[in-house]
Amino acid sequence: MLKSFTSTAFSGLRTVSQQQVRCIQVSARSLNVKDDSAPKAKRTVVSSAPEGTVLKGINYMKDGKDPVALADDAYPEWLWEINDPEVRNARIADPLDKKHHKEARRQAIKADNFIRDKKT
Amino acid sequence: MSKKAPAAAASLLRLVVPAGKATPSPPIGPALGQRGVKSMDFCKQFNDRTKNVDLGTPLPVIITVKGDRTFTFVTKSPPTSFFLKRAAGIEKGATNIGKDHPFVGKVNLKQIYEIAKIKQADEGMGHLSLKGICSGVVGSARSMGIEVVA
Repeated sequence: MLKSFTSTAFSGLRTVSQQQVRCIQVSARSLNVKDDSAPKAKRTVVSSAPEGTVLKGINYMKDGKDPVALADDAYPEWLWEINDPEVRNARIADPLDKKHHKEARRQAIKADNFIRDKKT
Repeated sequence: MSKKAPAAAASLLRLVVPAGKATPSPPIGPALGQRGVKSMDFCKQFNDRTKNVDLGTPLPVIITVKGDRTFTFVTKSPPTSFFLKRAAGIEKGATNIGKDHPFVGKVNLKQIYEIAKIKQADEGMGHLSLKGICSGVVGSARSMGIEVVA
């Protein structure tokens, strides 16, 4: 996602300032560029609905049928991660990730509310 | 339900109507009547447009009533909670959720994926990635006390 700035940097004052703003916004993320050269861990999650299972309750048209589950590999990789607490916790632990700061802010608000709410 | 109303502007009305079964007085009649629309007209059109949908499926519909009392409407896909309850095989979501309360149902990720695909077709979802919509569906499931398993 790192764009080359040299090509547009001199095309006019307006674009220069926009690029400068974008530089600032992108800088944290650019440090967080993930190194995909390391081999990804093989997915260990196995679906409870193997290929061929009818996925009930999805169809709501008269002339349609409930979809049938495909093989696990036919689904995108991210699907197996959205329910994975480890992935989520890794993002929260990573200080460059937005989730980290959102969670920190959330905890700070809770702590603050707890202190204010002195109804003992 | 929003009512934007400088005099000649359209007003919006958001309702959830069972497919093929429009016209009861309580939800639809008064809401449309207030805006000067004959509820029978709407119901005929709605039932006609939803004749391919399983009878009784709740469908959110957004009705735009123009200043001259003509109306157009858009139907969207059923609510996520409807899909989740059917997928988990339960009638109602949980009364209470949280670590002290057991789950009331279970869905797997492939069902979530299929639900998200249906939702993606809605107009309002155009800017969301399928992954984002899936996360949303998972969130709905959790708030209903439905466990999401692989």
